[in-house]
Amino acid sequence: MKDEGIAEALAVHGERRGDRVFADETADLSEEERRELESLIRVAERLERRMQPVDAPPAFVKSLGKELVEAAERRVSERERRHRITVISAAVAGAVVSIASVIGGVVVLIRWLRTRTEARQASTA
Amino acid sequence: MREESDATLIARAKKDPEAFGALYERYVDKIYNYICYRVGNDQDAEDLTARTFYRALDHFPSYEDRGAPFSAWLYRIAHNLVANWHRDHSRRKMVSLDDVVLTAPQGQGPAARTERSDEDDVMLTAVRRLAPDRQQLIILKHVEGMTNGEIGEVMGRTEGAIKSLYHRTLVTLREDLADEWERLT
Repeated sequence: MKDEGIAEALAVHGERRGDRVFADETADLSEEERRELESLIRVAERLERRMQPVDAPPAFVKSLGKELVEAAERRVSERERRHRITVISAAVAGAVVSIASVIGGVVVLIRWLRTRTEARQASTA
Repeated sequence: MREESDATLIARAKKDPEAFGALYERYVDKIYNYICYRVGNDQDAEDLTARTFYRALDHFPSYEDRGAPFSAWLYRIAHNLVANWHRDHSRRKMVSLDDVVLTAPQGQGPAARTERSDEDDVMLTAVRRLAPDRQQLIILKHVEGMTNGEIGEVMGRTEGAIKSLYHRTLVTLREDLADEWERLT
């Protein structure tokens, strides 16, 4: 319970949710817990002061940005090229299958006609 | 003109390289910042930042928006690369603790760096002695200024778990720094 209360109060303090919220959150803490909280807040405030954001060097940001956009362009055109190849391959495969089906159909028809003619000739003989 | 949302840029970036460039511009400083504090030197920070964005570009076609911010995805990539970097460096035993003390912010110049107080060094070295997840939490909170909820999304933990981890981390730092601060004050 003690740890939970202090952790919650630290969160309220760290996220600057306002004095009233902080007062509400710490209302139930004992004197010992308040001292513990104040000590931890001091550590947090020192961290806050020491750990300032660092700026990335502008030249680095610019050159990496340019490289990334160029790489992204290459990848997009590569994807499009692969997509085109897939579509063309599928169309060719479809055409081959269609032609094979037509040829197959014609062969079956010819065989069927031949068989029928032979059967007729045999029956008249 | 209103700034495009991340979701709009992400959708556009699948086909438009310029949109990926815009996402990069939006997050490069944050990612660089995070990496710089984790590795402690500018050259490796630049290298790992570049690798983070190249890896993001590689995996971008399969990226799906599952509700977590896009930055959380980038931070996770950066975190994994930094973890590999530390593993490689500890294996090679090439980097002493002095080498990995955090650098001063860019733009302040060498003179400013030498003027840094002992307290800065003590604090930053103590942060670097923390476990990786605790370092990540401290950097995201104090350098990036994220809320516990946002940190939870990046680290894949609940907000409650982050509050508790932060509390334990401050206790550890206080114990670690007690003697040093007494010496300095």
